[in-house]
Amino acid sequence: MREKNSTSCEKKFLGHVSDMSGMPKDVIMGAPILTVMGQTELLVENYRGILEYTECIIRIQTRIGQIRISGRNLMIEYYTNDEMKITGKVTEIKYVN
Amino acid sequence: MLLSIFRYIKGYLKIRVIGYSPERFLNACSHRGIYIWGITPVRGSYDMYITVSGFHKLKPVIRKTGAKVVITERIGLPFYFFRYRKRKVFFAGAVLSIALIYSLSLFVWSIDVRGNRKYTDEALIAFLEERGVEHGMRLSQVDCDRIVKDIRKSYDEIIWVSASIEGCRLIVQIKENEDSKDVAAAAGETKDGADTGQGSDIVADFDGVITTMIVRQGIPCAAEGQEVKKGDVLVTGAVPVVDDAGETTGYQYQQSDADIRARVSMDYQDSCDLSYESKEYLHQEKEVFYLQAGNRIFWLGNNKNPFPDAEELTIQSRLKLGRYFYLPVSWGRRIISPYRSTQEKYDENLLQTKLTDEYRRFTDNLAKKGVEIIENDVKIYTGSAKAEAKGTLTVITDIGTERPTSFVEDVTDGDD
Repeated sequence: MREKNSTSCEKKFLGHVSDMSGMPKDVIMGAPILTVMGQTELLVENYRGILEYTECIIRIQTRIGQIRISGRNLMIEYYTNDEMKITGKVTEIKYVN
Repeated sequence: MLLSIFRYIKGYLKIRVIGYSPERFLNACSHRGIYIWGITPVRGSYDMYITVSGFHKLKPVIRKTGAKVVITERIGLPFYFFRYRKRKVFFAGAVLSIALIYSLSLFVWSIDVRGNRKYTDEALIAFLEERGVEHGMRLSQVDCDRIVKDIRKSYDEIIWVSASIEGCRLIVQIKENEDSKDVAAAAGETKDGADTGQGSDIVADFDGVITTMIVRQGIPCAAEGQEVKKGDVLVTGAVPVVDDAGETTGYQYQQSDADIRARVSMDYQDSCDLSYESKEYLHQEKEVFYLQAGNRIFWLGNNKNPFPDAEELTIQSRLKLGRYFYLPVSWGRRIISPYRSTQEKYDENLLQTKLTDEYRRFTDNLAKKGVEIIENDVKIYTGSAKAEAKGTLTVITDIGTERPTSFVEDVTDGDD
């Protein structure tokens, strides 16, 4: 419980630093970047790893929590340490904290 | 597209990852910088593509994640060569074809002439052939500057030439002088005259009576209403230089320029045979195909003409590469159409119409040239063998052609 509190305090502090310094949050806080092109392409950066991957659901672990992408015929076009590209019919992007 | 070509050249694998948690395998791969793409889930396992070098780095990942990796497909040039390593003739053929394409690309296969209106492509290509520039010559031997100079030197009407090589094609672009020839010629003559210091006269080119005369340059030697004979000087280019006493001291030579019209009589004669040959076609056409290689002709059938009277039509096509590179092989067909010949006679009315039409065409042509017809007594005479239309036309037409002025002896020399 104490650890959770300290993490949220750290996040708040980093958020303030980012706001005050004008530096981007993805650099300071490690926030994920999602670039969605229409409904068929999704580019994810700043993630930690994949938790689940099926044709209908992709769960991605990031520093701010999990991102759950639902859709049909989902496919990971490529997967590197920096970014991944998902194609298919994306119906929902959900942040699970 | 480019990336997939590179991948194909380097070679890559399609693998299937089976295990308790294949996601761990993916994360471990990305953590170690192993590039994977095209990941598709297939019933509890994943299919994906991986580079050959990436596959060699997989051992610790497999050990750590406990996943099982199976190669399902080997794709790319290295695997292709390995698979067909025993087919030496195939590879030799591939190398030979590349060598052939390269060696054939060293020659001129097409000569393209652009921008020509007056001179035909064939004429210019024949001219280039005379200068050693022809189809099938080596590209390295083509001297574009030489081509440009040769064309400019030989054709006065071509005012701009550019020769360039595009691939296996020699492109010759030209620009012709679009000014009318008369204007150009007049300009040339004036220039020539000025250079030599010799003037020009205008002389009558046929007999007639002058009706109008407008002289812009030169001294008129005839007047309106005067009758002139062929060869008479109408305007002279030798302009006398007169001193204060009114005596001629010398001559200045100029290019005479005048509009002179004269009333001229011209004869007209046209004839037409009363009988003509009528052809009645028998509709028994005979068609023979043939093939020609060089000077040898191979007939595909009987080539003899069995008919006493027949029209022959030959349609020939020649084999060519590109637009102008003709090979000495042609093919075609010879069509023989027989007919029965009979002598028929023209109806008198028809004959009259025919001669009248011909006369009208003649007068129309004269009118187009600016000739005004003021009198005509052309009549049609029908004889036993032929009909004739003859008579005299009186017309008003331009008269006079240019001729160099003959030098007049210097007057002052004579006085001294």
